[in-house]
Amino acid sequence: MVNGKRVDALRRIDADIEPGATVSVVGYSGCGKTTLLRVISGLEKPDEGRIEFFAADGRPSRPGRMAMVFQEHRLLPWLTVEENMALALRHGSGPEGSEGAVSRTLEIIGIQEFRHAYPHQLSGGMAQRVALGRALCRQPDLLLMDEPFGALDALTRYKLRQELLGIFSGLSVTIILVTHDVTEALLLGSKVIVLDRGQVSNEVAIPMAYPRDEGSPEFVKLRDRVMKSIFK
Amino acid sequence: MVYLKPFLIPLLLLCLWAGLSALDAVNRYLVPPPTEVWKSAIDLLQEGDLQRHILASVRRVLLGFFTTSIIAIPLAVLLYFYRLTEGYLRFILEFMRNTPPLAAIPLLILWFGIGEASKLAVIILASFFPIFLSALSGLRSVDRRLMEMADTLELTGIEKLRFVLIPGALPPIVTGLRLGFGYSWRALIGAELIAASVGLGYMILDAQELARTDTVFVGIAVIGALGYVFDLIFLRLIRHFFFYANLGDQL
Repeated sequence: MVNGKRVDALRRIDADIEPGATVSVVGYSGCGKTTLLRVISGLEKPDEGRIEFFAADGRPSRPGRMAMVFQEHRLLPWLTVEENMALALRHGSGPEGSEGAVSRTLEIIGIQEFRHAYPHQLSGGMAQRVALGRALCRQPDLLLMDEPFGALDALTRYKLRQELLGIFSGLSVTIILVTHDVTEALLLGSKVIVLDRGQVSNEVAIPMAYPRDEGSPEFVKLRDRVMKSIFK
Repeated sequence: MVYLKPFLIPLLLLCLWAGLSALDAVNRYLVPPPTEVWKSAIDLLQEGDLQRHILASVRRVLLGFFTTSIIAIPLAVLLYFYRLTEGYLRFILEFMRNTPPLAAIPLLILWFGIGEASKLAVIILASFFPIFLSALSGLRSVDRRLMEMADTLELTGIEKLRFVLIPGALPPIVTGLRLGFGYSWRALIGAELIAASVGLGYMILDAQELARTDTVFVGIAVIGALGYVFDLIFLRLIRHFFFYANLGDQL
């Protein structure tokens, strides 16, 4: 309820998500994409209705271990990079155990030299990298990213996007990425879901191999298709 | 040379004081010359009186302060987790907060006599609210977004308390302790002026009754100096351990 009036943030949404795939969710501000992520993660409970997960054969299922990356890094200011990431190991780091997990993840993310730094000593891009590293330390089955580059400047966004592709190619995580940047959605996602006022208005598959060239005609065509869905 | 800046004006005042005394321009009873004050201080030190009074006052304030913290901080934690209780306690707490502790002294003497208990009670009354309110607001000021993030890491309630809530609330809590200590110190001196047989407040009162204004000066100087030193200690503590306290909302 907003100011006494009922607002449906999300209506019926059905989505098929391939394990290991990256699905981008785009749409106008207020279309419900952040709410969708928060409901999936359990941070918000629906006032009405419910959320259900199903396996490929139609049987009810659970999404497994989830991790989330927010638009802000949300690192604890009184812990070092290493300690922040170690926090994620307390509840679930999968079968491999915790010993080298932080070190390995630091390497993957590319911030080993900063392991003893405090968050206020990091730039925005580095801090966000740590946040991602923290999420990955959990060895999640499902990684939820809510406009993870939204607070960064354009150059850092660009750089991190490239790096992300490299990072994700080596992992078997399913990713749901919410973004308002359509190019980003197409560069990273194997499928783009367009939300409009709480409902899926279109789904566009992106059958291109990684890494994608945003100048290529196929890319441009697909992007136009997505843009049209958003602005129709 | 920068270190000398704060001392410039006091030094000038001291010279003015010495000058006026030497010229006999002021009544020696009202404003004794600095040499007499100094001599009085040395005498008190040599006889062990100054140490005795200082010790008595400092012990009282530390004990009272510690007792208050044990009560106020858990109470704040309680109110933080159980908002419903706030409604019941609000009026009573606000009423007590607005009553100066020194006004309660007659009652406290009636109930607890003129021994240590009444002094302790004054200190507790004086320091309770700064500590309690800072603790409560400190807890409430911990960014919800960090608590949310802790939820996504599946941290338990105890872990959230240990890793997020307490470190986050600690700077405001210690600031409250610093404030509370200052209030305690001042209230204590007031209490000692009214009903004590030892302590810096008592020392001043006794000296005034014996027309020893120089001792009064010594007492005031020591009270001020000690208050200042304690405050400085707190400040150092805050700055050293809580480097993250003044970083604003850099999330």
